Amino acid sequence: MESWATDIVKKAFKQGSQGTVDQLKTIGRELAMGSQGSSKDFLDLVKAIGEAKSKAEEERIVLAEIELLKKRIMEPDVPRKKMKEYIIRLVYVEMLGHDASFGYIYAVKMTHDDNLLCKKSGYLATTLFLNEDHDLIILIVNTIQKDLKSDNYLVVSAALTAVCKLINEETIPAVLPQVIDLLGHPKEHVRKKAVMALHRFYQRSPSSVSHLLTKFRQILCDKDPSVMSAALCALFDLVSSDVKAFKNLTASFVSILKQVAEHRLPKAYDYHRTPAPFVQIKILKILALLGAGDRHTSENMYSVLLEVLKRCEPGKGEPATNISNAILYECICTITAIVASPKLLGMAAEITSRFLKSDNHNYKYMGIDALGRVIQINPDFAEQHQLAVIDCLEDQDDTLKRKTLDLLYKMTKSTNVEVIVDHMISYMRTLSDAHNKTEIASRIVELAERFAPSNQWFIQTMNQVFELAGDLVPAKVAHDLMRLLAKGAGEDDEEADSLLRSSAVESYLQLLGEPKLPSILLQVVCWVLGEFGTAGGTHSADDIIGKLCDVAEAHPGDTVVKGYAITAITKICAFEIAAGRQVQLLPECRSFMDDLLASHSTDLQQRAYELQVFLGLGPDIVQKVLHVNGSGEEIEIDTDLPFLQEFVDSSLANGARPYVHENERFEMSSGMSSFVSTSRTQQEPSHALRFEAYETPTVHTPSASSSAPPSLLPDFQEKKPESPRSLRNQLAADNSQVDLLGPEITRLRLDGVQKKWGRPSAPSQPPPVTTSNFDQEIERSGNGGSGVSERASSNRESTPAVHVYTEKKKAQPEIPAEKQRLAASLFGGSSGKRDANGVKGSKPAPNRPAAGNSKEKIPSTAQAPAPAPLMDLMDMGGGDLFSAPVAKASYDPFKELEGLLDGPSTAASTSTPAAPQKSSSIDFMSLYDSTPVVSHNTVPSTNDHDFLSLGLTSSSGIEPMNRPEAGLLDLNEFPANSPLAGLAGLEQSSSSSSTSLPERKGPSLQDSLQKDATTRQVGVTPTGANPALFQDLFG
Amino acid sequence: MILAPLSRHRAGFRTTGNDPQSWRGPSGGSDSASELGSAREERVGCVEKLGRIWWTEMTIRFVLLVNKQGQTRLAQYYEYLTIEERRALEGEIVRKCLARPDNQCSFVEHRNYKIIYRRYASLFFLVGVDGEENELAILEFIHCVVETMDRYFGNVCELDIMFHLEKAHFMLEEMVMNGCIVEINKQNILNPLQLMDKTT
Repeated sequence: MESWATDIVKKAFKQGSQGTVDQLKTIGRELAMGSQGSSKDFLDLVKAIGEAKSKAEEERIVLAEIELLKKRIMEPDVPRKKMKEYIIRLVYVEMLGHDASFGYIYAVKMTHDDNLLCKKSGYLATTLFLNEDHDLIILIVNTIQKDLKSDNYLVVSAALTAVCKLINEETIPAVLPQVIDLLGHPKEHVRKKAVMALHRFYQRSPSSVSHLLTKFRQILCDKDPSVMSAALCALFDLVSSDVKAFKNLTASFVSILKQVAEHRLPKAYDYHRTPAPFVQIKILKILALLGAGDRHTSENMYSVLLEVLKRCEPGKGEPATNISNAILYECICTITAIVASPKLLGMAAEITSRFLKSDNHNYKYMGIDALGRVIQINPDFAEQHQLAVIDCLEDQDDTLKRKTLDLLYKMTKSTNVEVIVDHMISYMRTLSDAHNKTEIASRIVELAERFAPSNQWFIQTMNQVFELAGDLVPAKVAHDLMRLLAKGAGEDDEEADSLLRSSAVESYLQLLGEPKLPSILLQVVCWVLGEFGTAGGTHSADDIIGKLCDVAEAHPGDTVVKGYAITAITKICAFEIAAGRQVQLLPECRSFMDDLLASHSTDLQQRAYELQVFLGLGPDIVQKVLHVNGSGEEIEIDTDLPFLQEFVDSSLANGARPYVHENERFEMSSGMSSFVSTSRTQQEPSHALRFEAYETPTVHTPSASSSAPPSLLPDFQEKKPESPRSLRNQLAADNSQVDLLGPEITRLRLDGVQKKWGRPSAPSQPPPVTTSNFDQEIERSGNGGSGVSERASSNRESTPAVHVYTEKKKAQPEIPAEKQRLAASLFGGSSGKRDANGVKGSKPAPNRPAAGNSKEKIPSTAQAPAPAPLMDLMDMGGGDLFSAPVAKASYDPFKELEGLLDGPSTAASTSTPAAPQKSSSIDFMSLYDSTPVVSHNTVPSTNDHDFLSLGLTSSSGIEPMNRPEAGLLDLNEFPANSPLAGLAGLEQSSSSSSTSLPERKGPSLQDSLQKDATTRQVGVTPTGANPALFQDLFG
Repeated sequence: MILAPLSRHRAGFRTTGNDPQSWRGPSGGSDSASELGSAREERVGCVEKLGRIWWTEMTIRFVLLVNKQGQTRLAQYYEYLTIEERRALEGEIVRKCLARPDNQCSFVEHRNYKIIYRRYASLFFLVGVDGEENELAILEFIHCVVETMDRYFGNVCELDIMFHLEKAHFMLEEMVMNGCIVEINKQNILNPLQLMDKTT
């Protein structure tokens, strides 16, 4: 408080003598105001606000004012003048950021006043205070209606102004007829406002005025220029929503523009001797819409555009005014939007050059924007202005810099991506607000994904993005990065892959030294360290585990990172065990694990238990379960789970109940006290009122809930007489019958699953990258080198681009080498030449790696199934999948496991018969490759099927067969998950509370499975942070 | 407290224009109604599909007058923001714009807005527009507003606007409607105001 006071004193002191003069003037003004009828109170308030030296002081004044107004405004019989003043004071209160809602009603009341000034003030305050959906609006509609009928045109126009701001969609009909009538008002002032009111109605609710389109066309011909220009505003909106319908107005717009440009409007519409500039700009905007992609319409505009351009050119010796430059800029926008003639394009390019060369930053800004438009039609054009662009890029002016980055973003290619992304990153370093950062980060990611010259570069770039933008980056980017690392560049180049990975490991280990890292980056780091940390052999397991523990310890609140860390530790331990080494957990790791064992997060707990289990296993089994470098391997899934068929059949034969779809199960159990032999009639009492007619007593129809197609229903009905149980038996025994229950749903779902998960990382990052390079390559050979950023131009000494560059060099010998280098790397053309001359940049010339890379990668592209984007590949993979398992020589996982665990079990007998089904059985073990964590403790001790039935029988009140089948269904939906995990989870749940109904547990079990499945698939986490994936899966 | 006069208009205005009769509407305007009728039916469907498009079509989102201490002197929004939002927005914008040196561009990108600003003595005029607007034209529009105020108040200053806040608003109401620039003819803008002054 004290410092604030001294501050004021200082300021007052500084102003010194100036202050006294000011004071005198203020007094003079006050006297003048007083004579106009403002009261002393009002003057004092304004003076106090005006003289407030700080925000705090202003605040205090306004708060006092609010208290005062609250008292005064409620007094009875406040004179009208006084009331108007109070309302303006309320406007002040709101303007300075305080709530004045206590006075809104008085502003509304003020609109009833007979005095025009008071009425207008009332309307003004109302429009400033209320939004169109405010409750008080309804009170004002009546006043507006009355005022629209007034004889005084100023009252009418005041009401129309209010209409524009206050009428919402529901109240449009209340005033629409009157507004339409006013289009014929004798006063142009009123006609103009009526047009704008209709414009507003169109913006609010296009359908409300859709019958008035002819009106807008007629108004365009109004003899008053103001009304005509108002009609342009409305027509601009109309045209932009539907270009085709207004093509026939092109001639009208052209003729208006011509008349305006030729100075046929009254001089009063001029602005600095430029005739009606805003009308010209509006029409140019409309013409751009009309002429886009339409040669015929565009041709009609050529002459008028030339005319406008000619008239805006400054005469000899006089500088161009801002306003004529604004029109010129708008012309460029129009020319580049329509199908323009070469002559017009030439002129547009010329004006752009002039803007860029200007010293005025505003013009430079417009020039950069115009350049972005011109190069979309003529890419070569950029080269002439490379130095100007770089000047702008390196300017102190943040706005200019950003605009230039926008431009560069538009012209990024594989040849200059490194330089551009480099600039973007260094720009991002300077940013502090989240909005900008998010935007630029997403751009960097996009460019890097599209044009990355090498994986190494991609990874480094991503690391920087994560570091700078942190949690503003979507999680998908992190997953893509992990997938890329797991997958490597190509199948055949193992060495390069391992090099890539070890370099990633090194960089991440270094990164961990940094004090504060965003969560998402830490997740990637943990995953990479867990997966590849010990692979290179340079780091011992203890080192890595120690680091991981440090990470987890440093982020006690971040369960996601903790989850990543513990899983990574599990993996490293597993690798160690598999390699036959003794694993002795570090004390800190041990305590970390113990912590998690008692964690409130079930997920973390589960992970910790898994680690514990792994530590107790022998190398053989660990090796089978967790391959080194297993994350990149493909998982083949047969969603029919045929290997369980034997088991299902034998169980059914033994009298077990068949599987009932979950939906039906729920429906049944909700209405029935028990599953056994129920009929519809028994069920009735438990329901509330039923209004429809009773059906004939029949089986409770499960198909109703699963929305079977009607065509299938007759089939079903035939079976009505049978008891539900036997029916269900049949259904389950026969696959085609199962389909009957819910064929649509089941099928669809499975398809989705296969596509999504079938080949988890098949297309990963490299294909898109190589594709883009490949495309570029093709493009190049096709065009024979069309100019910008063509490394081929280094071979052609006589390209125009090179000439331009050398000319420039002569003209501006003082251009620093650094800048030239930058220019060259951005606009590849001349860089080729310079490189040939031996002037090598300190940075690695981006052309080289890119070129080398694209060459290397072409063969790999050929190998890839198709050079299509990721999603397409996925789809194709989905199709392949059906045949894949058949072709693959697979083995029975149970048998395999059984071999590992000595001790024959009953499972052996059930699983052996499954073995012959090789052709279609799932490659069970491969599931584990990327899903290291399974509750293996159950495996050695319990035989699977025993265990199953154990869990099932313990859950009371439910037919046992429901459960295994439920598990089956879950697996169907989550093929990526291991069935064993599902079973283990089942056991857990049933043993933890055997009394509760499994129905209730069902969903939660599924939830945990979902979570698990996604996690593992994307390489990790348990957050469930990827709801979109779940939605995809579940429709 | 009195400000130096805002920059005066240089080019003299010729208020007496040419004969208004010389202005003729476009020749192609009188399309036959039947032709339009068929087009309309298509449009209805199209319009309904598009729904509320006004958000994207509005050009000017707000006009703001701030003195060099960052105190708001006039604020007119063409889209609804709550008081808190306005307060936050104004604070951010003022901090951004007022800190910029004179030689830098008069345009600043902020959130989804582009802000075009111009300084007159101790007063800053700031106009927020959406992405697709001609920045130079808006810059000149600001000057046009100042010229209009100048003509009405005669050497307008901060206090004029403070004492006659409603009148400054009335002028702006005439010039900008629905976020579009509708009028720059000073005669047309000031006419209602002058008529009102006469009657009171």
